[in-house]
Amino acid sequence: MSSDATEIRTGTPGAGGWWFRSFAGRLSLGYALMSAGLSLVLFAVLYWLLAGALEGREQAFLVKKLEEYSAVYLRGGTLALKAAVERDSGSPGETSLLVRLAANGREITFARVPQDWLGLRDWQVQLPGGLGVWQGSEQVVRIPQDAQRDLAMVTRRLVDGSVLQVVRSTDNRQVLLEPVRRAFLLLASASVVAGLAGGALFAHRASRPIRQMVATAREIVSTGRLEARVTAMGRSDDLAELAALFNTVLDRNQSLIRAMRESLDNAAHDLRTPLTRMRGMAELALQEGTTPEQARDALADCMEESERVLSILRSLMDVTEAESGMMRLDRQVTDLNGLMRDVAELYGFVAEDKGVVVELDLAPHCTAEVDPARFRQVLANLVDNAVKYTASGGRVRLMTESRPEGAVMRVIDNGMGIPEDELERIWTRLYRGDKSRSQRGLGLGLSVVKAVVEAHGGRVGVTSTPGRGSEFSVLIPSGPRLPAA
Amino acid sequence: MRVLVVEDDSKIASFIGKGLRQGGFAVDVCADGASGLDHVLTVPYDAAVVDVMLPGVDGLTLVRRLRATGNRVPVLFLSAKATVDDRVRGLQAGADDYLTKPFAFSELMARVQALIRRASNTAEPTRLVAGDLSMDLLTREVFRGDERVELQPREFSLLEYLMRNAGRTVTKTMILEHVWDYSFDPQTNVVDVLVHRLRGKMDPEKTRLQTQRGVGYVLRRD
Repeated sequence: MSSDATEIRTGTPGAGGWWFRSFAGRLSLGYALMSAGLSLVLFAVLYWLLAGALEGREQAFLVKKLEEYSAVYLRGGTLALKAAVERDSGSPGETSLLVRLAANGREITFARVPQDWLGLRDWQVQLPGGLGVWQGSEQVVRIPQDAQRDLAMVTRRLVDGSVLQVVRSTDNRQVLLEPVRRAFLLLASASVVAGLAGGALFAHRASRPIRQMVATAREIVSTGRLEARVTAMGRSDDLAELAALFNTVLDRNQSLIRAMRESLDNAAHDLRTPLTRMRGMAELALQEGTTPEQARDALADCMEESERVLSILRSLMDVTEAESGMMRLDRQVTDLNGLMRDVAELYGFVAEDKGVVVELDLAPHCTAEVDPARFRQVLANLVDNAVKYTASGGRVRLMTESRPEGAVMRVIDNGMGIPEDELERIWTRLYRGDKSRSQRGLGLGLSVVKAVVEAHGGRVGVTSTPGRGSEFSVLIPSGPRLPAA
Repeated sequence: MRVLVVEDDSKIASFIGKGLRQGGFAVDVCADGASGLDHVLTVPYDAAVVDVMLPGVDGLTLVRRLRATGNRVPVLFLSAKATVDDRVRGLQAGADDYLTKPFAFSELMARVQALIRRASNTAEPTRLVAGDLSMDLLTREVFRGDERVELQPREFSLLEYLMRNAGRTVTKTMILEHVWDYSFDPQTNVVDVLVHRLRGKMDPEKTRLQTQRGVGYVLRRD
């Protein structure tokens, strides 16, 4: 689980494709596009509002002037109007102003205009049909003047029938808002670039666990090494959790696969012996000169060997299932004393025949939450061993005990015992106390015991003195506990 | 008595067919689920032995469809899968019993006979007889001729089981299941020991309770 194991080949070939193929790339691209789109919308709204406000001010100004002049005209006639226009034209804030009055068939123009303004293009502000007959509504009209400027114009028919028109030159809206647009373009492109870069950086960092998982998975797929893991990160977000879960799944898979490989090896090893015997016996029986009696014997031997093969297979399946955590346990509160009595009874005749005494030493009300069928098998295997390895005249004691940490079951014998250097190995599958294998099945029996007890979250233990006997113990912790993964 | 066997492995099908015929049954064999369903729906069988894994229509589907038509013919499932789940699934589909491969033929035979007995609702006997052996199931007394034989409870159960199946071979697995209600195989042969004790009490000459090496035991009927 070194970090360099998971860091390899994170980037994929083809830098251009990376943006679209990598999650981080798509994320940051989408992020940038979205921010660009949003700022565009924001700008459009702002622009529209700004332009509207400017227009409104312009209109208000013109209408105000029109009101003013019409009042002046109605009160003081043409002369007063002329004086007012001249006064206004003289004010420094006014750059352009044109006031026209059509009354009694005459048209008078008062103006302060820059040289380049109206000039000869009088028609631009001409009303259709002439001022005298104008019947339109009173509203501000904008007329493009040149590239930079527009003419804003408002016209009113006064109560005495004359028509008053006020015209002003004003900056073209495009021109007016040009700096705003330029500033926006600059800011928006800067923010898109910054967003893209920042988003890319952020997404790249955020998606690191994903890339690591991809790299890890790819390494496992390409090299078949199951040890690769995603490097732990000092984070606690959901991606880190995903990475941790990913590792857990890999752990689980690895242990499953290891267990499968081992059990396959063991199965091959364990099955080879009885199969060889079967084959040998059958071959011998098929030779010429075999009497029907001998053939019958050989067939019976084959049957017995096939039973053995089946029993080995069953045990191997049990061990594998239990060790890989796939064993289904039907856990219920079980009277352990009852189980002990059952098993003592099962082996009662066998022990009696062998001259071994089976004693029960049971604590009152000893219960545990276990799968009773599985535990009966556990106990049967332990008692089977104890009776098998205890000589005539010996004793096998079955004990239960309620302890604070849980229920304990013991199977104690005063048989041949186990040498100290072999104590650790008795739980492994291929171990057999009896090297000659005249007593079959010890190794598998004890590995079933260990696997089933551990699948229940319990522990097995053994102490032994060669020549004096052995004590096997099974502890089932009280309270619910998850089986060791 | 007519039995249908639906099994795609021809060797297994042939040994089941052969064995059942020797046991006095008329046997039809089908190699796939569709023809099996056809047969069982058209011919009045007394029992059907159906493999779970079949080409085309599998055994579970076959039994489900069969039960959907209201047909109650007893079905024994054969399966290479031994887990409790598979057993439960088979029984839920509507099978009446379940046997895991590999199996002893005598066990298959015993189960088929039990299914037929159950389906025909034969009244439970209160007295079993085999030759000069007799057993009163109510008083739990056993006599050999006129002589009363004292048996311990397990010995009694074993003898009862053997007498119920007198003339047929029973395997060690069957004995473990019926006498002790154990479904696993204890390594030391507790069955051998019990049989030995029983024999000592009621058949010291070994003429009535015979060992069939590699298969099991048989109690002579006469």
